[in-house]
Amino acid sequence: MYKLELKDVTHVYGARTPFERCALRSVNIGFETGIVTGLIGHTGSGKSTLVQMMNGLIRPTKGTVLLDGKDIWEKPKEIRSVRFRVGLVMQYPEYQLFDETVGRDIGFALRNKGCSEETIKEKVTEAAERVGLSPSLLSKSPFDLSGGQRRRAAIAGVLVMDPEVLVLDEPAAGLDPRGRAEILGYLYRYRETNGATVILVSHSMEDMAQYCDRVAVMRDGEIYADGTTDEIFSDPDRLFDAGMDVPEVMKIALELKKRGISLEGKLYTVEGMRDAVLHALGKGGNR
Amino acid sequence: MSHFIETRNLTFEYGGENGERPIRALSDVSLSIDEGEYIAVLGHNGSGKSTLAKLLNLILIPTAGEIEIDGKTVTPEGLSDDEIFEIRRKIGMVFQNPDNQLVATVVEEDVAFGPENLGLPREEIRKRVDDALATVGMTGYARHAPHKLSGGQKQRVAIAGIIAMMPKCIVFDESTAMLDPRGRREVTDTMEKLNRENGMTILHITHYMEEAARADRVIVVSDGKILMDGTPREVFSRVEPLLACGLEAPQGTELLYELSLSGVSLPSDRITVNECADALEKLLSGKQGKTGDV
Repeated sequence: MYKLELKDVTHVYGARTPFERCALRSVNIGFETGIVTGLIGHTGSGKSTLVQMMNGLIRPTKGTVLLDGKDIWEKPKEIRSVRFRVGLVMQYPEYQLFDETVGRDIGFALRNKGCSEETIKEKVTEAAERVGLSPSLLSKSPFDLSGGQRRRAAIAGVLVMDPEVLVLDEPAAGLDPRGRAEILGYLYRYRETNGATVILVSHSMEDMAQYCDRVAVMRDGEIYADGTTDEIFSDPDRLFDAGMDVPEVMKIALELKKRGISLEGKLYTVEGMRDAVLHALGKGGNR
Repeated sequence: MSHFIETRNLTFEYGGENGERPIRALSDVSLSIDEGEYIAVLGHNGSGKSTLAKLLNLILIPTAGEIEIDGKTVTPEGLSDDEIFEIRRKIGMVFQNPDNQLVATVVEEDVAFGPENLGLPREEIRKRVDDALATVGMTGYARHAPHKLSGGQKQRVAIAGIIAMMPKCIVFDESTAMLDPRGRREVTDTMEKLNRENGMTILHITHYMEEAARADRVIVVSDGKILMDGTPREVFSRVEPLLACGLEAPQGTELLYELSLSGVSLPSDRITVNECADALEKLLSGKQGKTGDV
């Protein structure tokens, strides 16, 4: 059974108005426990709509959303409980910080859930630690933090709920390379320690290649391709067709192939390419 | 000979009110930029690169040192409003979020916003808008609503709005950060075209090394200072200092660097896909089939 499953979901914005637009058409996709799935697709392909269905922010016009096999919309009044279990980090979440201190902001969801102040304090410290935020920052105003720290605080505000499913819309957008690697590394570790199901939306093919077990490509409101990261990157033309790209390092492998030199391995990451070249040189895959 | 833009010990500090210690975002930067250059600016978050961009456009005024733009010197005393507007007409700026930059409900009206404010005659505005939309390849969308465009298209409309002001230079402050791969390509292609065909000076601030590799010159800002300044080849072949300041090299350069750490001798100054493929082809040709026989 899937941890989270979207069955035949369709969504129409502005139904029965002149602006009616179908954002998703009969999409079927399931997410297994503990797997990191990358979701890519050009602007307007339906990614954000799909992501907002996962925690019940958007109710599908047609179709069902199942969490542990149970329809999340069975009792619409209880939809709130789903949002504690499926954590959604939206794009540029740092703009949503609002509380007086960073610590209070991170603990907001738990306070809403009715946790004791003691539990909240403990959980907040733990969540801050998970994203590499020093405890000394918890008493500061969110507005005194740097952009990167604010981003971390916002993500901690979702991790604090220990979500079983973590959905992230471009969590590393606008960060420098080191900041990107750090944030994505923390999220990867959250998966490792909590066994959480992770869904990562990104425009960066490099991030997909590095962090995802599986990649789903969306196009015009439909799932255009879906497979393991290996499978998806083994068919670059299909990615180009969907307006996507391959990681820069893989373009080198494709160019070499054109010139009659075929390499084998995970040619979509720098490490994979390095090992493939070493292997071809007869030096073995490890150094 | 004087340069188009020249900064002399340019310094910017913010904060410092109520006796607090000010924070130095940019420190003693001396730099010159000529007309027609295509420059990429790299730097970690908080390095001071956006501060530099905002000083060029006079959104910020230096707290020490000075900056000379097309013969006009800006000091901490600032300039009159008229002089500021004069400089802003020469140096346009495109920001990160396309949704924050479009003001009108129809594409061509948005592009016309700048020229209208210059008080130009109607025919001149019409001509500038049409030319600008043609330059960015958005002529077919002149009557469309901006909010229905893709991110890359919105950024190109924002660029058209700047072009219609006929500036000498455009500063792109992470204008590709929020776009999908296609959008990024559209915007970088547009920058390159403006530079190569129209001779416009381009400053592109970005976190994407592959985009920076397309420029003629790369400036690396770290902790408020210029750390490196040279051709993409010169800058990117120095993988270690780049990594040390939180940046990276293009993936191809990194691959060759990784291989050389594994004892394979390869040149360190290859940056494009083709150059890296050339180096690897040379290394691998003749070795095929040898796989596994060690």
